[in-house]
Amino acid sequence: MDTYMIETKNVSRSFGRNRAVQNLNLRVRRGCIYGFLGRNGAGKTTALKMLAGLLWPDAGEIRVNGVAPAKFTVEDRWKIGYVSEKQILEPGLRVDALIRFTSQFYPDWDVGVCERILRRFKIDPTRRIGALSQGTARQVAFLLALAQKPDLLILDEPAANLDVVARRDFLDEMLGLLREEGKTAVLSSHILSDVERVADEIGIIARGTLKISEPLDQLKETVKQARFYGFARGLDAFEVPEAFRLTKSREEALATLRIKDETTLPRLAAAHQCQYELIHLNLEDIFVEIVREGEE
Amino acid sequence: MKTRTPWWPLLRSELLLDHFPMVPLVLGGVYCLAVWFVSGWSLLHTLTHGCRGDIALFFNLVGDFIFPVSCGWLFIALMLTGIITVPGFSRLETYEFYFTRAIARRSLFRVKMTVLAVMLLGPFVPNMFIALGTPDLVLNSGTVEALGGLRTTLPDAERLGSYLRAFPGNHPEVVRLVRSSANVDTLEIKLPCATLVYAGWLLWGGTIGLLAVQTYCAFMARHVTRRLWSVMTFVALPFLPAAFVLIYLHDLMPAVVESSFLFFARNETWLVLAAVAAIPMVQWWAERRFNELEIS
Repeated sequence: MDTYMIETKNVSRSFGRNRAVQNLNLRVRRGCIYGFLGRNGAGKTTALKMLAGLLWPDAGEIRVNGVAPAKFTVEDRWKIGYVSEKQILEPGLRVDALIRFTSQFYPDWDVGVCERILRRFKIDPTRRIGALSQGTARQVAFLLALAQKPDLLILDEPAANLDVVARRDFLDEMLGLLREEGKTAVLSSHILSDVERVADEIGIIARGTLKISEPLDQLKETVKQARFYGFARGLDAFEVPEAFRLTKSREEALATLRIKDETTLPRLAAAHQCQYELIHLNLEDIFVEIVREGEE
Repeated sequence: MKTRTPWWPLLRSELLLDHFPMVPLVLGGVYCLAVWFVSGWSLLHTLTHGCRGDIALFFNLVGDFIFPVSCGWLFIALMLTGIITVPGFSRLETYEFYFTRAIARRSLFRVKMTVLAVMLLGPFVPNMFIALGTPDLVLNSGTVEALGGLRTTLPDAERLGSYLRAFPGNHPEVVRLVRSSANVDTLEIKLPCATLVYAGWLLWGGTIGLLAVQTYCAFMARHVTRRLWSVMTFVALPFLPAAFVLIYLHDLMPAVVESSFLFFARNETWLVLAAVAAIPMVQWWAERRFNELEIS
């Protein structure tokens, strides 16, 4: 069995002149919850759709559970749950009819998960999908993806339209499922606090290019912001080659960079005859710094 | 061994059996069956009763309408085929749901096209059985003479010759003198089995029309986007030549339609075999295209 549930090599995809994804090299380990972050239009949805077999890459290679999405069989699909950003379900069907319909395609359908989620989210199974609120319809989509007992869950903005309580319940359910051995999830979201709560690894995509992909702990441990001040010779010549982003004002410079070892900052400060102060960043800060760097 | 997608849930879904309660479903089904049967039977009834089985009279009276009615039928076929096979014309998100479940796209497409074919071609099928018990059609020289000067018909000699060629095994013993209401003796050629040929011609024409629509939709499916101009182009494109024909070649239509019937009568075996051979070929090609569809 491959170490990686998802592996992409130099995957690119364009829509006309717009290069949505460029040379994406993504590796998601089995059993990992991967937070896939990016601004609107960064290429997240395109990348996730390629993983789900809804779009084909123009170039590069994709393997999901060892299989190219273009060659997914029914058995491969049993193992992949997908909830899209705008998942619209058949509005004329009742919730229970939709569950019954979907269950017929999955041999391992988990009735217990269905009942538990229906109870937890207080979804009336006799209501028609069209009569549900957007948030409740998403909960139903989420239920359908979980009840098939997938090995891989691809969730594109799964918490969109959910209130805070529902979002937390949703994350708990997802974590409950993923506690089982070997289950993997790729999760894109704008709500970084949610991602920070659940993700093991983080990938940040900006303008179609993957800027960072690494374990969340490592990311938070190594990516810091440093404020440099008290420059003896002025800061015109001050540069930090490895910085994600560097902003200068009249008397100080702010650099977001990866701290490779304990000597990185003292060396920089000594070279430019200045002092420094280390600022710890949370995921949201890191995300903003990296994404802004890409845009600037 | 490859796992097959269960077809029964897909069929139930296509027939909307889970969308409505039982009573409206049964009433709606009965109504649709009645409309379905009457619409097919009326095509035969117009010929055998409305025109007293006189084929020349039939084509003269109805020939003007057959082309626009065929265009109307093709339009309905295009709408329905478009809805079930062209994501840009239908709701993309619904396709997204189906394409990310453990459902083989080919099976989904096959069920959709089967339902569509039964719905659109079904009305023509009972005619084949009814035609077996229907009196023979005739070609009356009096009618031919009376219609001879009219713009809409084939020339007399050509028409008589065409019918004799189209039904060669029958005419020697079935030509007879008939006294009309004006006390004029006219020749009447009996055309045994012509009702069956007529019913077969309708079914064959419908099959070819549906195959053409299916081919068009399969070809266009990946090009049609959700934009209004794209959808309008998809719908209008095949009907531009039809509009040209209706406006500029309207006078020729009855003769063309009758010639088409005679051509079918002369070559029915080959034409039926060609249609039967075309069905799996077109289906295979369209399924392949459907299998490669993207949902962006």
